[in-house]
Amino acid sequence: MSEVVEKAVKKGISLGASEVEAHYSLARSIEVKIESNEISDVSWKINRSLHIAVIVGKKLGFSRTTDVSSSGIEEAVENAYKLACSSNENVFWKRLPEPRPFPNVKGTFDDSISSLGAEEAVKLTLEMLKEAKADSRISVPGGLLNSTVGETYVANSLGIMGCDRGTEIAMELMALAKEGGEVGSFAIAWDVSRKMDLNPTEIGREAATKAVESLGSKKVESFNGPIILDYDVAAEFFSSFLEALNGDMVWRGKSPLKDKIGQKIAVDSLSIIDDGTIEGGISSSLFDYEGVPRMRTILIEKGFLKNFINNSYTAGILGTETTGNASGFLSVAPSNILVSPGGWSDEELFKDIKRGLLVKRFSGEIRPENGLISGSVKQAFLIENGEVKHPVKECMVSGNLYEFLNRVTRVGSVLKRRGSVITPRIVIENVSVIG
Amino acid sequence: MSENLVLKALKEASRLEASYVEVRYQEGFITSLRVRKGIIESSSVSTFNGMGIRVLKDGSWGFASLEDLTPEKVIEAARNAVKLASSSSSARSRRVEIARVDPVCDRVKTNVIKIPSQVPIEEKLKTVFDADKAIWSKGEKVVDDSVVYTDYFGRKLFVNSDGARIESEEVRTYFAVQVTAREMDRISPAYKAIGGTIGFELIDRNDPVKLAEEVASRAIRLLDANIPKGGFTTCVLDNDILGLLVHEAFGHTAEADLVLSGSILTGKIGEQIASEHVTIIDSPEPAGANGWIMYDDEGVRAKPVKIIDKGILKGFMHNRESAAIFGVEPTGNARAQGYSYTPLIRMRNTYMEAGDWDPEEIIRETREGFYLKGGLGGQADSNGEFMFSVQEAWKIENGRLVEPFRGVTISGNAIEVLKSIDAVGKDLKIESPGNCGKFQWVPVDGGGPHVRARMMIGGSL
Repeated sequence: MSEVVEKAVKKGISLGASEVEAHYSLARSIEVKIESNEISDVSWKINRSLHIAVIVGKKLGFSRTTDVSSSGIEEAVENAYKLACSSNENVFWKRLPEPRPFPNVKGTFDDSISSLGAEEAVKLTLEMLKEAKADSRISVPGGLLNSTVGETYVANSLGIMGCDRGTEIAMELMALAKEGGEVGSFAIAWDVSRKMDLNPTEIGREAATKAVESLGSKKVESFNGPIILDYDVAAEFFSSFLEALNGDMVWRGKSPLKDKIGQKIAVDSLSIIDDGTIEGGISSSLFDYEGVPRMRTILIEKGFLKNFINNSYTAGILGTETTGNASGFLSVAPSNILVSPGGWSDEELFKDIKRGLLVKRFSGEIRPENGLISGSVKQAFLIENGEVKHPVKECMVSGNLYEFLNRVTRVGSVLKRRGSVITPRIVIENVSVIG
Repeated sequence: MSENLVLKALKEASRLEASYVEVRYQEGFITSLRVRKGIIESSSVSTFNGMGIRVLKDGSWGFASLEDLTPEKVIEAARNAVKLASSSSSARSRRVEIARVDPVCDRVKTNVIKIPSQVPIEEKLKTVFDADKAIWSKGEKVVDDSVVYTDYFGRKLFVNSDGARIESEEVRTYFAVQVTAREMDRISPAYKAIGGTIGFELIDRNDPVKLAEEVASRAIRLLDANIPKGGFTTCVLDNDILGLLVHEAFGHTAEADLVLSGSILTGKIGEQIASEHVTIIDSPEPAGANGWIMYDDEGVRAKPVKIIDKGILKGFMHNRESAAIFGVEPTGNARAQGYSYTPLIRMRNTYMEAGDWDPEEIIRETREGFYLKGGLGGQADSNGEFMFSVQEAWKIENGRLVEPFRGVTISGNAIEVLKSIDAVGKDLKIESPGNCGKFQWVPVDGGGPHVRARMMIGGSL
């Protein structure tokens, strides 16, 4: 299959391009969906997509195609070449990346996912559904199982040639609990892995438990106090924060942290690393979108801002090196985000909290440009004198991301993988909760 | 088009005793240009073609899609679809039935004046460059922008085992501007998008430079605005915010699949759920709107659904499966993002019908409250709870707009808000094109007139 990208690069050069990059991805997936308490359909898909970038001097043109026959490739390259010719100069453009050796990355391919059949996929989905439905108060509006086997090929005219393959399985279940005329709030349980190790029963049970524990919610009076971000919410919080470390946001002047490298921006107990090479990481791979080896980059070390994440384009503008975080031709995204564990055990996290909230779902906005956080907390619980008292009715929280980073008072010692974020629970002090 | 392959797939799945088979073939290309501060950041041409095969066997759905369109692969995909359906049939407690629809043979196309593929790329580039230049000429408070032009040309062939054969040709054109203004740590975003099932005449009819200038001016103007104090108050909503509310906070709860799962509207047909001034419709019309369709992706002729009539809940949006469960006619709301997706119940153009108030009169007759213009996104749940960001807000005092505000959010429950509507304007506009994401992206539109309602307002930013 590497001939697809090789052909594209050759064709581009023969047309007169100064640089060419080609990216080809192939994926085969099986998906089982749940709708209204039933398995609603089973799908089998094969998708493929060839992306081409042609550079003429400093002028750029792009194309995509699903047709990878010789004529399909040629036409796509010609399309990109024509666009480049009619484009204007991108003064920021330097050049495509040079080839470098790829790292050794383990645990990204599992034969038992690639050979998973439809019957087995249906069986696993049903196990998850049945477990949640074992509680008669539970109804399941939706859910899914998706298993994907993918291959990626990348080549450029400076000699990069890479191929990688990977597997992934994801399961998700939504649940609602009803009891005595009361309907609890929407609960979601999910997990994703590169190997066949998901536990459908556990996911089903977690969805049901979350749905049931939201029953009997009470309104809470407005207060200022500590909130404990549960794993899902902490993962969302750190993902939003990482947008401010994205080289694309930084060079455009949209990140408030643009001039803060080397400065203290968070409490001592926070350290965050971007690592695209960890074993079995959801975003682990040999190379990024443009064929640059994945690597490990320290972003925050004991509260100090150390690095931004970049692709070769944004690194060129910022006068730094790419961190192997290209997610598209000019775009940048984190790989796996690792938040270092702290010293607080699960019980200690709650200890001595006079009045606070444990938040399991947040629905709202976190704006990295200015740090604004506003939205409603769903699946939240009142903590009084160190104990979880009762679920609370939807309430609003507001504050600022950058202030929150300096108000983290406790970092949990237990880590959980939530997709490509691996994070502990954290406690943020003095948050305004509007009941 | 690969008609032979489409028929091969249909024949193979039928031979394997599928009780219903539909095959969708699609091909097309998209031209997309994005300029930011004088630089073309992305100019691309995407071409695609592929096929999706959906079958019903033993009361259960199976689906397969592919892009490698050789006879062998197509046969394999058809067999897979049947196999997948069988694999899940024993896992179901209820057999899938689909409502009967008379099979149609038709050929349809969007009615456009200027086919975008016949417009030279230079003209499209000039459109985005001129708009971008106009934005940056507004001064140094502008810190970021994005001007995007996109056009789409697609062909579809739909066949099913009932004997339907629908060939369609679709053209879409879009133009969108986003501006961020900044002064110290105050940030003000503004956004506007136009477009739909329309050709390049979109650009001729609207003045992109003027539109870009307006967006930039709004972003800059709002930098000086204050953040309001939150609270429960009277709000006059413009066409765009109302469109967002009607679609996101209310519309989804009237999609029959969500009704079956338990939405706030479940079991409420015939009940008064909104004020008597409120009539809400999801329609395949008007032509040119972003959600315009003639047939849905199950080959059903699309027809308007009156969801609320004068405050009374009348009906839901259906596909063939939900229509069979509810014992009603399918409404043509089954839509798929593309050939590699199974159709889901989706909205088209969702709006509130006009009333008899002059929109200016609504403001004049409001003693105290806010006038809210333009939505900036947000979120909603199937229980009707919503929170949206507003682009621009004006304080109303004794019928006059006295002070602009920025960073305003509105929240509440859609049903409560619809119940509180006491004035509906006569200025119906359906001009809020967007992409709705419910597992898949499909183009939709929405709107309505100006209305007055009560809801929670919050100040943030």
